[in-house]
Amino acid sequence: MMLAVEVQGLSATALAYVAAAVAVIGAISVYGLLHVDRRWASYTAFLFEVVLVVLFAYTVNIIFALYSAPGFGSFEDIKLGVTYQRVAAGILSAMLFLAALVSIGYYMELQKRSGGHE
Amino acid sequence: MRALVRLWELIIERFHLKEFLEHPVPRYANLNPLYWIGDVAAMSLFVLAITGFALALLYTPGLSLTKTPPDPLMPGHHGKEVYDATQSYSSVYKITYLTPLGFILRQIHLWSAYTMVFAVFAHFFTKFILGSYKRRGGGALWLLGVSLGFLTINQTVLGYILPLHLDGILAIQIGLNLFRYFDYFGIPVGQLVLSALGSLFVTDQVIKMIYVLHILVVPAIMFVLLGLKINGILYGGVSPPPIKDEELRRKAMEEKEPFYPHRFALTVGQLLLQLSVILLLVAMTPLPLLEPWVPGQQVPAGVRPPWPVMWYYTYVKMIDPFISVGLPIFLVLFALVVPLLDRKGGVSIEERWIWVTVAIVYIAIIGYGTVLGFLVDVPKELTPLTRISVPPDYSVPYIGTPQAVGP
Repeated sequence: MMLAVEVQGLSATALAYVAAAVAVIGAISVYGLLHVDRRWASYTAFLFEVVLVVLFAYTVNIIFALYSAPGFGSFEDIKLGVTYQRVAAGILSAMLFLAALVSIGYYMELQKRSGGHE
Repeated sequence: MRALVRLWELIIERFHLKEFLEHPVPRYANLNPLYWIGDVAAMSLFVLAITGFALALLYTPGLSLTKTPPDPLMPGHHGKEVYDATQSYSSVYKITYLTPLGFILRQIHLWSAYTMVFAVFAHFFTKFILGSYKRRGGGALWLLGVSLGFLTINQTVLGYILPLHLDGILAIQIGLNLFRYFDYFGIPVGQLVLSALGSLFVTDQVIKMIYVLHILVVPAIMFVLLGLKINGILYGGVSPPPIKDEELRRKAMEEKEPFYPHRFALTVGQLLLQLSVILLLVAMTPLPLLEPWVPGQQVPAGVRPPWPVMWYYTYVKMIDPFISVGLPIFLVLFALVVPLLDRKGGVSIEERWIWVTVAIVYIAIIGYGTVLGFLVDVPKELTPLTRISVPPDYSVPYIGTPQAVGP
């Protein structure tokens, strides 16, 4: 690749793998714990959210550094910028998914409490 | 924590939110996913408004030509060429590829638009099958819903025109051609629209009008209609469950939960899940910016519209224009009169199987056109199987291309 600017940090692929691993482990843990105790599921989700927020901030930091680098604008630079933004979107997606799990889990618990259909 | 709880209680008390938050919602509506689809459409509208606001700040409509680099997401585009493109295209290019996080912003806007269109279609057919318009006040909600659906498709087409890529120009051609249909009946709607646009071809003024319609006029009407719809649901309740047994239906309708925290938790979860899916689509299948259009350029063969209007495009190409061009008008008009025609009987599926069949035919018309549009590259030579022919004269666009005057 003929990059006009060089990124000092994790590559987009590495970041994507790390984020996907955290997201999958987080989603399975939270989903599993929702069947045991919602409170612990919430704490676990919060923990994974923190890890994902750090990853997201790191990725966004790279994106801003890339776009504000002098000489940015070549075809390869733009492609790299898009790749990092896709990773950022994926991390955000995982964060929202964990929060959605907890929220829907809360509704399910309310259903059980009020003697619903379960 | 105690202070936060006190603050929350204070907000509820001082803003008089208690009555709203605790209004009863039937439990079957919370448990049945068929009752969530309207929420998905409404949430998409809010996401579109927020992302659209940011995009509107960065977008500049205009036809003046600028040199624009190639689209990195388009297959076959390489770094060497530079294209001539309009200011509109160039500004969307800048938002998408030269602004940090602009790519995510535009992709969320696009995917939310598609989500909304899909949810609107699904919500329409769900309510059609459930016979929601049969309850008291249901007809008014149905009328609002059909109007909102019509405006949603309008918004999609208007938004699709704005980047002024080749597909957008195809959209303006097909869209304006629809107005010409009224001329068959001696109603000069097409001429009226052209007079309003003030031009036979795309100009700065035309694109500015489309921009204003897309970001201001249509959304304003949509939000007013949506407000009326939410108000109607809040005070008139949701559709009854499709149960034939009177006793069971009454029992299901009496089983209620407060909106807060029950439905609230579910709605928040649904919104987060929806956004999560949209962002996953952004990450996995980003949509390219497509080929730029240059004023005067004809739309080449092979350029096809996106899926929400693909069915219409297919029918315009394959059926006699007298039937096909006005098909959306007939579908909307028919949808509007459905509550007047379907008045008797209950709401269970077995009691109203005729109307369920009509709904299925409705789905089949749109579904068949969409699938066929993707399978067959329209236009192509006449074949006995698909009866696809070259576009008839009727589908020649109103908007032509500017002719050079003088030497």
